[in-house]
Amino acid sequence: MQIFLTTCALLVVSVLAQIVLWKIRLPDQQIKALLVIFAVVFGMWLVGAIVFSMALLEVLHVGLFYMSVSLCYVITYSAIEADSPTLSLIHLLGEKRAQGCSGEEIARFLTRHSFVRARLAVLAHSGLIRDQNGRYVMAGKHSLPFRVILGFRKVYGSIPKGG
Amino acid sequence: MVHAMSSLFTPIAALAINMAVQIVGFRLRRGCHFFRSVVEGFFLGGVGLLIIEALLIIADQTRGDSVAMALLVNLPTYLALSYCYYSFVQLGQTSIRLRMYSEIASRASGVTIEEMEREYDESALTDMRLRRLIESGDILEKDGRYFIGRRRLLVVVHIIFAAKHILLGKKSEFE
Repeated sequence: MQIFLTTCALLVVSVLAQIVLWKIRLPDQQIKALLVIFAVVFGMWLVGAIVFSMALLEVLHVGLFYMSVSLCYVITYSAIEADSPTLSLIHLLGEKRAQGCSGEEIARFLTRHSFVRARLAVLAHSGLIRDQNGRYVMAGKHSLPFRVILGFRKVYGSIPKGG
Repeated sequence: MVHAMSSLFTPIAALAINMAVQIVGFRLRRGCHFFRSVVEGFFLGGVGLLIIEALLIIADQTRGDSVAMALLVNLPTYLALSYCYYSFVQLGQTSIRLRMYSEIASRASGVTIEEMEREYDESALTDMRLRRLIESGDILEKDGRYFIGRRRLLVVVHIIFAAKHILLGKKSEFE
């Protein structure tokens, strides 16, 4: 029970810290900032756990539970940070209700919201790619998280082009 | 001590079962039925978790604590790890950003916005997305017009947009 309550308390503190910091100033790299908040809150608790001689197994259990739920939050947050084309479409149809939308209206809506340009802008803003004389090229080395995901994806086979 | 240590690794063992079943299932079907392989992996990993927890509870003297640990900590940890794993493999399947990055990484001369827009033809993506949503029943098509079908995604949209409003002060990245 103590593990459960401790982890819940840590998660609540982390989310509250995020809300406060986001209200003060929205970070440029939100996912990175979020990971730092979760790590700092856990680090501070860890110092306390060592000072108060908490059992190692309990610390590990809290760490595993906290890390897994934190990652869930960070993953879900990426859908909050950037618009998903599918969810934007559902939102549009939800607003239109019984009137619905024609194919042309949907196409116009998606043209106004160029997800391709928005995604390229995010990649450039994250420092993963850069604009070089009108062409997007890699900026520095391959990103490790992207390499891991693409490497794991090879377990299934090649990634088809386009959508 | 041994019980506590075993209990710590239970969600990790269940996740390993989940991953193994998902990968083997997907490969056996030669890259088809991705979502089915995810569900099968999740289900069998969950069964594995319950079996291990049941064995630990039977072997343990302090059963009350073990049941509380299983229900309050290990089960949510397994659910959270499974969600992370699903998101991880799903990224490789559908993430436009990841595919674009992969595309740019594979061309030393780089890619222009126009080339990328041709590659990721928004109207083709729209058609594909609409077809997928109609098949799943989330969108209904009637006389050339599209309507909300099942309301489950609309609930997700309301939650995401409310969170956007609270955290970012806007409802869309295009505002």
